[in-house]
Formats: sequence, C-alpha cells, structure tokens
Amino acid sequence: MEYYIIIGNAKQGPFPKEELVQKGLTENSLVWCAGMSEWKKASEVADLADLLQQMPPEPPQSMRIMPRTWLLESILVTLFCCLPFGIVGIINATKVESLYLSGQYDMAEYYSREAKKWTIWGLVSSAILLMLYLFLAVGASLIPFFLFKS
Amino acid sequence: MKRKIGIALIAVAGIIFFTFDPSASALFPKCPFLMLTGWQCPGCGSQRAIHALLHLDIVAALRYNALLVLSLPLIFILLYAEWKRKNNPELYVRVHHPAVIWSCFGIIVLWWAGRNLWAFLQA
Repeated sequence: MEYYIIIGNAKQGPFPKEELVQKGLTENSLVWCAGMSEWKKASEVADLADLLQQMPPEPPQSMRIMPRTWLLESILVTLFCCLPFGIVGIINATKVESLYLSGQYDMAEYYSREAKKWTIWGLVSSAILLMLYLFLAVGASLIPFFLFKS
Repeated sequence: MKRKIGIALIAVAGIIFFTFDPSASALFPKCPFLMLTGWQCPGCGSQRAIHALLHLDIVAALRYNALLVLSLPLIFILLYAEWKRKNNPELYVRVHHPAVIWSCFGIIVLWWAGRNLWAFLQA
C-alpha cells in the first residue's frame, strides 16, 4: 500500500510504506492512502503501527528552565536585617520550586515574580533605613560643631 | 552589565567593611528589629561578623553571627548555581530542592529563637 505524507505543510508521495521512515515519519505525521476518507495521524493508522513501534517515541515537550526562586537573595536579606521580607521570600521560593517540579510552569513564574518583589522590597526598605540612619548619624555628629561655633 | 555592577558593589562594600569596624564606628546602621523589640534578629551581628571574617578572625565572626559564617558555603553554592542557571538548569533545580529550601527556613527560625533564648538564659 502506498501512502501520501504531509511534510512541512506540503503533500508528498505516494511512497511505499517502508520509505515513510526515511521521509521523516513520526507518530504525529499526517498520512493518507487510497481508501481513507481524510488525512490521519500515523498513530491512528493501524497499518503503520508496526512501523511506529520500530521508532523511538517523540521526545517529551521540552522542559522550561526553572524560574529564579530568589532563595539566595531572600537568605541574604534575612541575614542583613530586613527580616519579614526575607522570610516571605523564602516561603515564595518553596512555592516556585514545588510548582515547577509539578510542571505548573506559569504558576511557578508567578511566584518567582512574587519572591522577587518581596526581596526587592526588603532591599529597598533596608536602603531607606540606611540612608535615614546615615542622615541622622551625620546630622547628630555635626551638632557639637554648630553649638561651639556660636 | 548587571553582573559587573553587582561585583563592583560587593567590592566597595568589602573595602568599607574591611577598613571600618562596625562595632566602633557610628556610621553603620543598627538593626531596626533589635532597637524596636530588644530581641536579636537572625541577621544581628552580620556586619561585625563580616568585618571579623575579612580580617580572618573566624572565632570572632562565629561569636558575632554563627549563622552567617556557617551559611557561607551554601551561599557560594547558590551563587554558583544562579550564575550557571542558563547553562546548567539542572544544577539550579537540584540545588533548590524542597528539602534545601525548607531546611533554610527551619534553621533560620530555630536560630532566631535559639539565640534570643540563649541571651535570655545568660542574663
């Protein structure tokens, strides 16, 4: 039996069954042969089953790279005194990682952004406190100069 | 670019923490949590610990903030995994194992409670 096969949106053939493999047949390729009412996936054509069994299955859908968990940054924020934010960051890191491992990539990215937000808030608030502190410390150390000047 | 800025900032901070002693200089911020509550936060003593570490005084660093000193290896591993995240995504996943993250969380909370309890018992 001779088959037509769709490769790159173009109909090719007819080829004898054995030649289909060389043409790049996969279980998802659309094929047609005389007697079929419409194009069918190769995996749905009983006659091709033995052929497909000889071939490796399609690789699984490629895994996405794990989004940043912000664990490192959260630990650093915790160690440098912006406590609530660092702890929230760590909790979000656990969510990123468990969602990623269960394949919920979009939710993982959502919690990655949450973790980032809390880490950055931690950093910003510590920077503000640092500025405020420096301002007050320098200001206070200048007071004697003003006092003794007058 | 971002990486270069980060390295530059760390270098500047390193020079500042090497040159000045946070326990002697008024220019270093105090912990707001400690000031408000009188309790130490998990990060209290970090600045003095870094100063001591940069002067290779590990014993003093441990006394200021043991958690910081002991977590340095983990911090370097996480840093390396983050640096190689694009080239070696599997390493990043493995380093961020659920057990690792939950242990970090648990250790920080235990350390936080423990050091205050210790200070309370000493007093």
